[in-house]
Amino acid sequence: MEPGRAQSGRVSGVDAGVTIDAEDLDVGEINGRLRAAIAEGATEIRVAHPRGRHNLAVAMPGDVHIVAEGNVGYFVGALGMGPAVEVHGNAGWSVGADLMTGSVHVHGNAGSSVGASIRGGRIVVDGDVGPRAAIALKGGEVIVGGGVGYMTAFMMQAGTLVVGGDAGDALGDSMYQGDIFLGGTAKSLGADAVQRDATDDERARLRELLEPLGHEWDRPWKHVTSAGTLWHFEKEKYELWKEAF
Amino acid sequence: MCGIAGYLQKDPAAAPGAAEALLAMVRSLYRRGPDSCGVALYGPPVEDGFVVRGWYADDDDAAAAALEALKERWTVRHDDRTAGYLRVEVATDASAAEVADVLDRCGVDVFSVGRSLEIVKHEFAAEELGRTYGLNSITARHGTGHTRMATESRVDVAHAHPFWARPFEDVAVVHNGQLTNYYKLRRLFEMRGYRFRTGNDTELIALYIADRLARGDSLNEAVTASMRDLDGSFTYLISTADGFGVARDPFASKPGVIYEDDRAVAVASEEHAIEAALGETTGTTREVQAGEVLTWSLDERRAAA
Repeated sequence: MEPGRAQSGRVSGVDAGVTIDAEDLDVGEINGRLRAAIAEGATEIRVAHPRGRHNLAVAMPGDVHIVAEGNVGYFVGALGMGPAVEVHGNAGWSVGADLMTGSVHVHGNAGSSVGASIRGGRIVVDGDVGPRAAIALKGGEVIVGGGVGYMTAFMMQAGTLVVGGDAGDALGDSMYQGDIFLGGTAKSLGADAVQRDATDDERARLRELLEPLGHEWDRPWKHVTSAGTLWHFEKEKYELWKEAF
Repeated sequence: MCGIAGYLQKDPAAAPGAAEALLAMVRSLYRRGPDSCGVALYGPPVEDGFVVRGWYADDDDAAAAALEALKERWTVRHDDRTAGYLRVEVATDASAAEVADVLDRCGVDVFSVGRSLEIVKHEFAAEELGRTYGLNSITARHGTGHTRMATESRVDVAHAHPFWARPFEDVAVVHNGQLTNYYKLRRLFEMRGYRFRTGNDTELIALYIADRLARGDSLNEAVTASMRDLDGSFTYLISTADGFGVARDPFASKPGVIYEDDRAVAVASEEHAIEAALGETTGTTREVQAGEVLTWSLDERRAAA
């Protein structure tokens, strides 16, 4: 196959899919070819040799499975509007940032700000991630199989974060609403975040969520959410506010 | 932004040398900073003296005078002048400070003095840096690299990274970020008699660590102490003749990932730089966590976590 050339065809009644060899392409060309393939009706697109490139498969529309066969850089699958993006490798910062619908699944580790500010859809990282995952989450699901770093779920507003491993300092700092499920332990909880054991119903929901992903679901799950004490400013609670800031 | 890279070759049969690896990493990171780039390489040590790298730009008289002045005092084994750089191997009992002072007085800006450290930096791209100064001919197992986008202090060769921790032999640093308590700490060091060569805050990190090493800290202890004393955003790499360390500020403002396998240890701002050095990677790449300190040494591989 000519390098970098998108090819498609049909084999045994299903879309055989398209492979884009990214080796000698810049990211604009790769994403251009992805869009063209989606417009032509491809349902399975593989990106070979991504070599840690940033902004792969950003703002892609459609019901399509996009597979990166290697490590990717920042913002993989960000602003997605439907596709299921899969990464067979590691990812850099801001995996699936501002995702609307669809999913991003990273089979390795990922960097900072995984799932920052997503409104819907699902982000899965099988391994460990850096700080600030699920920051300003506005909906959807962020699922991390391993551990998360410092300031995870800072100012989270809605949606669900699941962390199989341990969390760094200030988990759920100043979160408004939404649910965090923690399988390990947090180094510390953030301002206004409170923790209790998960209920049986919640454990059942986690099993349903994690079993198909092959993630360990039988853990001593904790549920972390906002205590709501910072929702309205009250002068007599000044000390609390001083601490939060 | 700025891009930083650190590399330590564990298995010379399976992994590229530090010069080749670091040039590939810096080239891969060039989008993070096109202003200048540089590498700090630790070549075969000069047992009875120093290898010196000085910048004379286009002042041939200064270079000639510096070489003459060195020859008057000590035995000069090798000397070479390439595109503004004077490289000298000198056999001497004198200290690195004394050697550097001789070059200063002749108008040559000293970039490194060490048993094995060589700092080469320029407003070039990495390919041109390597080609111009024949860096692949330096047999080094570890070192650091940098590509700069200047956020404070001027853009010229002297303000490019890496920075030597003058006057401490073999200590160098590369840095992505800013120190917010730079002037305060600089004054404290100046009161103790240290001189700063540039207005770049990174020079202070080099001096801070080297000063602690000279007072008996291990590399890991010195880098851990810097977490208390340095304020600002930073991921920095500090290298010595024995290895290197990485530190990321407690807010994790600047990026940094670590890769390690049986062949090598590589640290970089972004993962693609690690692939650029090592090709397909089979080990684990992970982020340096907020406030994390890690050091590696040539002998023990990882000194302490």
